[in-house]
Amino acid sequence: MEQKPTYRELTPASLIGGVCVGALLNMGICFAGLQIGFTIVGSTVAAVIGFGILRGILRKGSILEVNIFQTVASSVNTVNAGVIFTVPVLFLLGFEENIDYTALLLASVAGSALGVMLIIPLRKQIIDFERLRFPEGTAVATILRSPGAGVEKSRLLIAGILVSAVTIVMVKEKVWGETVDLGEIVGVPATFNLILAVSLLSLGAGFLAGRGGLVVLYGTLLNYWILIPAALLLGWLPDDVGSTEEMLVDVSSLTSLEHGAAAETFFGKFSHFTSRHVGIGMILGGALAGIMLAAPALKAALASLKQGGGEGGKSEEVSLNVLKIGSTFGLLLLLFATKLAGGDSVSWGQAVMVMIAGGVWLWVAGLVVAQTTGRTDWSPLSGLALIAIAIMMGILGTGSGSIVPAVTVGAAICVATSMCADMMADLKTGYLVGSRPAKQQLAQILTCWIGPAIAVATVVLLWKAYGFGPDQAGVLYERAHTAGGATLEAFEAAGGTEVNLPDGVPKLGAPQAGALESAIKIVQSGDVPLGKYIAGALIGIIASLLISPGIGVMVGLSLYLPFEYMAVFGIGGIIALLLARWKGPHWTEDKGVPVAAGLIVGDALVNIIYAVKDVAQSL
Amino acid sequence: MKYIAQLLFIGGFCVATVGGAGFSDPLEESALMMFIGGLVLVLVGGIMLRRAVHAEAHEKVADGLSEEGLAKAIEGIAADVRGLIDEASGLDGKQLCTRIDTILQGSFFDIGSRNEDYMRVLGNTVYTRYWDGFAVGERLLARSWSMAADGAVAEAVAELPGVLKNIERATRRHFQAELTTIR
Repeated sequence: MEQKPTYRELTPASLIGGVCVGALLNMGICFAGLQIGFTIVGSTVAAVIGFGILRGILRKGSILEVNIFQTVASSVNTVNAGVIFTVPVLFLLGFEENIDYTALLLASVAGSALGVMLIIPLRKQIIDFERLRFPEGTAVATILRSPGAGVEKSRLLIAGILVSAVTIVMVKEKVWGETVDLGEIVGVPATFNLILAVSLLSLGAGFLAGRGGLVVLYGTLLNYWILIPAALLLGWLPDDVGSTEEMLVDVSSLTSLEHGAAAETFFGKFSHFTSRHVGIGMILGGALAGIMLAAPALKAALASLKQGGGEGGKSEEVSLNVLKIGSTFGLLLLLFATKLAGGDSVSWGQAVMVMIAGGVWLWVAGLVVAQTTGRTDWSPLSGLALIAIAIMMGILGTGSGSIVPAVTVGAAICVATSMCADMMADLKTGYLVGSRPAKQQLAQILTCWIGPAIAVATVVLLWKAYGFGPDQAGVLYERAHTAGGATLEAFEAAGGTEVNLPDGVPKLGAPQAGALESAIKIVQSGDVPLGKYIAGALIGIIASLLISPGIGVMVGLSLYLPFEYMAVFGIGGIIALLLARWKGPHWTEDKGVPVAAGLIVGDALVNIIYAVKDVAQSL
Repeated sequence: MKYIAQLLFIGGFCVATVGGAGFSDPLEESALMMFIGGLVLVLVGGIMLRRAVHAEAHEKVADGLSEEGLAKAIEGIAADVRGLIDEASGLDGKQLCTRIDTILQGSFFDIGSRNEDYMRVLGNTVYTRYWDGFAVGERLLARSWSMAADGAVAEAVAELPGVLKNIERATRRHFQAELTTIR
C-alpha cells in the first residue's frame, strides 16, 4: 500500500496564518504607502514571521510550509500597492460621492484574480528558462533555507540584516542623510548627478542581479550624464522645469547648476518630464520583444500546462481549465464593475471594450512587471497605471463622468500588475526551495480576493478618519467647517487650520495619487506624450530583438527610476562581478548571496517596524 | 569588429534616446533627426554585433558552449544523481543535505549560471528542449534538500527518482538524435 505523504506543504495553518499576517501587513503598509509614496512587498518579513509561528510556536512547520505561508501573506499584502496608487485619486479629484464601493471592490478583486491567472503560464519562461534573479525572492529563499544551510551562511545572513537594519535606523532617525552627494565630495560639477541613496537594499538587490546591474548603471548614466545635459543644451525644456523660481536653476548655462536640494529636485522633475516616458516605452518594447523571442519557451510552458505534468504524473502547474475558468470569471467581474462604476454614462458596448482592452493591457503590464521585478526588484507600477487609465479614458471619454469608471478599472489593472510581480517572486522562492508550483498557485488563487478588500477598506477608512493628499489640512478644515459647532471648535483647539493639521492627525500626503491626479489632468487636456512612448518602444524593440530582451527592460527601467537608487543598484552589480572574477562565482554565490539577502531583509524589517509604529501612534 | 559594433550600438542608443526624449508637440526637427540617426546606428551596430556573437559562438564550442557540450554536462549531472540515489538510503538528513548541496552548488550551478550564454549560442528552440528537464530536475533536487533539512529523509529520498527522470528527459532527445544519425 502506498504511504500517504506526511511532509507538510500546503496546510490550513499556512493558509490561515498567511492570511492573518498578510492582512496586518496590508493595513500597515497601506498607511505607510500613503505617507511615503511607495510600498514594501513584505515577503521577507512574512517569511521571518512564518518561521516564528509555524516552527517556533506550533513546532511543526517545514521549509515548504513556511514558503506557502509567505506566499499567502505577501499575496494578501502586496495588492495594496495597486490600490494606494489609484483609488485615492478619486477622493483627491472630489468624486467621493460618485464612487460605487461595490464596483471598486469587484474591480480590485477581478484585477487580483486576473493577475494570478494570466501570469501563471509565464512561470516556466521567466523562472525556468530565463532564470531571472528576483532579488527579494532569492532573499526569502535564503531565509527559508537558513536552518539547513549551515552556521556560516546563517551568520552571514544575520550580519547582513544587522548592518542594513542599523543603517536604515540611522537614516530614519535622521542621524544620517537619505542621500550622499558624491559629486560634491569629489568635485564633479552638479550637472553630472552623482547623488547616491543610503540604501543597502538597493546594493543587495544589485549584487543579486549581477551582470544586470551593469546594464542598469549604463541606463542610469545615459539618462543623467548624457540625456539630461544634452536636452539642456538643446533647449528641450518642459514648461514645468527651469522656468519656475523655486528651482533656482539658470538653465541657460549648464555649469550654473549647484549642488544641493535644488539640483536634486531639478533632476527629479526634469527626468519626470523627459526620460521617464521614453523609459516606459522602452520597457514595453523590451518586454514585447521578449515575448516574440520566447515563442518556443511559451509553447513549452503551454504544453506543460495542458499536460499538467513533468514530474512523473504529479501536476506541476494548476490546470489550464482552472486558468480558463478563473480568467473568464475575472473578465466578467471587470465588465460588471465597469458598468456599475460608470452607471448610465457607460454603455454595455463601452464596458465590453474596456474589458477587452483592460485584459490585454493587464497581461502586457503583468509581463512587464514580472520582467522588471525579476531583473531588479523594482517595477514601473505607477507609470503602467497611468497608461491603463489613459487607455480607459480613451475608450470612455475624458469628461468627468468617465473618470470614476476609468480609475476603477485602472485600479483593477494596477492591482493585477502588482499581483503578477508578487506571484513571480514567490514562485522564484518556490523554485529555489523546491516547492511544487501548483501548490503555491493554488494557495494564491484561494486567497487573492482578500488583499484588495482589505486595502480598499483601509484607504476608505483613512480618508474618512484623516483625509489625505497634498491638501490634507484643507480637506479636514473644510469638513470641520461644514460640521461646525463642537467639531470645528475641537479642530481649532487642536491647532488645525487651513494649512496645518490638528495635533494627533498623521500626515498622509499620498504622493503617488497626487502624481496620478496631475497625470489625469494631462490626459484630459490631450497632452499625453505619445511620441516619447513610441520612440522608447521602438528603441526597446530593436535593441532587444538584436541583442537581448533584457536590454530594453533594464535600460528603460533605469531611465524611469531615480538616479540615487539605480546607481547604488549598479554598484551592487559591479561588486558581484568583481568578486566573481576575484574569488570565483562559487565563492560569490556561497558567501555573497546570504549577505546580500540580509541587506534586503534588514531594510524591509525596519521599514515594517516603522510602519507599525506609525499606525500605533496614530490610533 | 566587435568593438566597433559595440561603439555604434551604444552610441546610437544614446543618440536615439536623447532624440526620443525631445519629442514634443509640435515635433522638433532636431529631435526627429537625432532619433532616426540614432536608430539607424542601433540597427547597424546591432546587426554587426549579432554577427560577431555568432562567429564567437563557433569558437565557444571548444569551451563546452555547444549542444553537444550541454548534453554531456547534463549527462554528468544524471550520473551524479544516480550515484546519490544509490547511496541515499544509508545517509541521515544532514549527510543527504550535504550531498545534494554538492550537486546543486556544483554541476547544476556551473550549467545554470551560464544559461544566457547557452540561450544565445543554441537559440531558443534547442535551449528550451534541454532546459525544461534541467530546470524541473533542479527544482525537485532543491525540494529533496528542503525535505532532508527538515529531517524528512524518506520523503527526500523518494523525490530523487523524479529528479533523475527529468534530467534524463533533458538529454534523451539529443542522444536519440545521435543514435539515429549513427544508424
